[in-house]
Order: sequence, then C-alpha cells, then structure tokens
Amino acid sequence: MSEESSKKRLINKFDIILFILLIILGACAFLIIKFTRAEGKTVNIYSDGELTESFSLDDDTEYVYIWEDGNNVIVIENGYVYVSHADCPDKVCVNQGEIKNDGETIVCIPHRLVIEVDE
Amino acid sequence: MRNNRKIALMGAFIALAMVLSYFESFIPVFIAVPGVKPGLANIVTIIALKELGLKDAFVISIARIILSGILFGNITVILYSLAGAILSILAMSFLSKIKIFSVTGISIIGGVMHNLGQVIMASLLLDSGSIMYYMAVLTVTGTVSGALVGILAGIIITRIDFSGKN
Ligand SMILES: [Zn+2]
Repeated sequence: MSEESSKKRLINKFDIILFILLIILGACAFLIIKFTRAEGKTVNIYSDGELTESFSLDDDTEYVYIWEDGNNVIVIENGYVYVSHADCPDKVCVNQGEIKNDGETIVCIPHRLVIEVDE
Repeated sequence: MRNNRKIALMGAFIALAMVLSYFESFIPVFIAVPGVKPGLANIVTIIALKELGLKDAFVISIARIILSGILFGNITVILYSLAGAILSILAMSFLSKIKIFSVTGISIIGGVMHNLGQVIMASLLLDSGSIMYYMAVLTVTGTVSGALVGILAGIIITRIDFSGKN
C-alpha cells in the first residue's frame, strides 16, 4: 500500500507555492495576450482545417456554417464576430462570446469549426 | 491486496468515476473555453494512483472514458478525454515518485496537464495551432479545480482504508 508519509499531509508548502505560481503565470499570460493583440481586420472560417470563407470585420453580416447535419450561425456586428446559435452538444462556441483581436479564435470542436480573426 | 478484492475495487472505481463524469455533464454550462471542466472523475484517478498504482489507475481511467464516451458521448469526446487523462496520469505518477508535493500539488499538476492534453488534441483535431492561447485561462482553471479535487481525494484517502486489512 502507499506509504504513510504521503498520506500524512493534505497540503504542504510546495503545493501552495505551486498553486500561487501557476495562478500568477496563467493570469499574466492571459493579460499579456489580451492587451498586446492588435485589432483584427478579417474573419477566416476554417472547416476541418481548411479555409472555407473570409469576411471583413467591418461589414456586418450573418453566415450559416454547415457541418454534416449541424450548423453554427456566425454573426459579424460592429467590428466583432460571435456565434449566435449552434446545434452542437456543448455550446462552447456560443459561450465563447465575441472576439475582435488578431489571433483570437472561436472553436466548435463537434463541428470541426475554427473562426479566426486575422490582420 | 488479494486479487478478487482488487478486481472488485477497480470495478467500483470505474463505476464511481462514470457517475462523477455523468454528474459533471449536468453542471450548468458556463464553459467559455474548450476544456474547462472541474474534472470530478480525477478524484477517483488520484485515489487509484495512490492506492493501486500507475497501471491500475490507467486501466480505470481509460475504461471510464471509453464507457462514458460510448454511453453519453461520441468518438471526439473519447479522443479529447483520453489525451487529457493520459498526460495527466503520467505527470501525476511522476510527481508521486519524486515526493516533493503532497496529494494537492500532484492533483494541481494533474488538472493543468489534463487541460493541456485536451488543448493539444483540439489543436490536432481542428488542425489549428492558434488555439493554444487558451492555455492561459486553462492554467488558472486547471490549477483551481486540481487543488479542490486533490483536497477531496486526500480527505477520502486518509479516511478510508482501501486495503481491507481492518
Ligand atoms: Zn459549438
């Protein structure tokens, strides 16, 4: 069976240091990514890794992406792009909200969809 | 541990892990990034890793993912979960051996690696490296959920004697 020493303590100081370091690391990385990215100009739609459509972020439009018997409604509005409706099981794409910066993405894994904002 | 007893315990662990991942699927969706999930089934993985060892923890975890995937998911979910679970178990097993962290620290690394494995698999499935930036958010969520899972697993390990000697 496992050794008593490893059972003794639930948390040690190294765990706490690890916790704090990872939170700081993740938060800093998030803030750096968020605030150093320039605003994008184009929206590229990739289906299963292939570029299928491109739109300008300046032109408001609505595009229905089709994958097998599913779809995602992609809306470009006021310089942002978001997924307004989708019939995928997890709805992660809808919950990702709106994006506008270069390099940001919205993904729908069940529908093999990547929406990427580009320069 | 006697063989019959071990097989029974492994069966119970797989069943418990399946219940936890099923229960998790009912947690209201606030998931804004692929991969953000508390990973409740990791409680079972950690207990199995500590009490039964790497090989059995692997068997339990993979059995749980494939069975849950067939029952409640699909092949994408299975691939996605397997990538996270394999990376996570290997990292936790390594950390258990070097004995710097207690169960909470081991679980924190397990949580972050679980997310890393899923993002790598998502990058491969979607053929898009650009989504790796999600790891910033997932490092924070993986650390917090990993800590909670580790504390819960640790409490269970100290309270319950799985060896059956008593
Ligand atoms: Zn979706």
